[in-house]
Amino acid sequence: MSLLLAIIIVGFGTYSCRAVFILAFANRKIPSYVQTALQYVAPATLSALVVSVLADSQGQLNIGLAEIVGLGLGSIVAYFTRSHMITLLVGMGSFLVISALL
Amino acid sequence: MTPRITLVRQAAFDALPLCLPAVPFAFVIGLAIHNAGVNPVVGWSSSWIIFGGAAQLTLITLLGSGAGFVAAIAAALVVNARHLMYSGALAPHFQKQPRWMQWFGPYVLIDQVFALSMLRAQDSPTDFRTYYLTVGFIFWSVWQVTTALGLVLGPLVPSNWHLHFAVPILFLAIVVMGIDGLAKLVAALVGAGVTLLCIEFPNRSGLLVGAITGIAAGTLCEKLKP
Repeated sequence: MSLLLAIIIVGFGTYSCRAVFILAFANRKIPSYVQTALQYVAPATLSALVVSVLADSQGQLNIGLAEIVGLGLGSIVAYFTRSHMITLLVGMGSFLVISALL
Repeated sequence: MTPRITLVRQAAFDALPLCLPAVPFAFVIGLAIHNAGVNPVVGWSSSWIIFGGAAQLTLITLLGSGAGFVAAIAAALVVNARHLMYSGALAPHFQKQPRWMQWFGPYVLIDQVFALSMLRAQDSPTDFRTYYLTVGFIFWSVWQVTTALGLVLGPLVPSNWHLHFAVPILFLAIVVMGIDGLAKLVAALVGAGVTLLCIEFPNRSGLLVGAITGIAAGTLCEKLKP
């Protein structure tokens, strides 16, 4: 039940972000300082998420060589290929190979 | 005015290649719903209620790993705040649309729909509407089916494949693909670094501290640029 409530709240918030200017403020521009800050929402939040999802439920970071190699190679491949599929294959593949060797 | 069938065909032709990268992402979300141990139908409902991959993955992964209710919701909303930019950019082109379109259109305003429809912003209102709704419908349909597939097929994958590790890899890939300058790199590094320093904060609230500090650092870096 709490998950459904969370989904509905996030759904409503997401729709509001997508709709607010279209429905209500069509003739107003987003202030430039807000536009500047919005550009950095994705990199800052998603990189914070990477760290957060690598921590266990006690808040301890649980990473070893296999995770570092998987994330490192995944990043390099993402940068050069811009492909989620290839990034996942290389990142997961290298992580599993190193995990098996250790 | 372009014939409707031509526009629909063109929209499908433009949208389908962009759907391909979304497939593994949607599959990982389906898998994350399974791993979080939540009701699968409720988890999958996020695909049509939120319809935004990064926010869905954020919310489900955080709640599944014991994060606080408020922290998980706040993080997911921060992730999707970028849609404000899309709304602002498309608002002038929606002014000649009927009211129902102004209400319904934003529901499918995801990254890919924004990118494609901005290229058709100068079309007539009818052509723009046909193109926008076709592209939106294609992405929406692919998203619903592939997240459901991830949910159904995910449990069949052996646990020693550690597929949960696909989540941080995918998030990191999105970060790396979006970095096009020093300020964004600074935002990402500060966001990750501060979250690491605050990792023991309760309910994973350190992630919000990291995200906000990262956004501030990126903005500051942009301001200081010569």
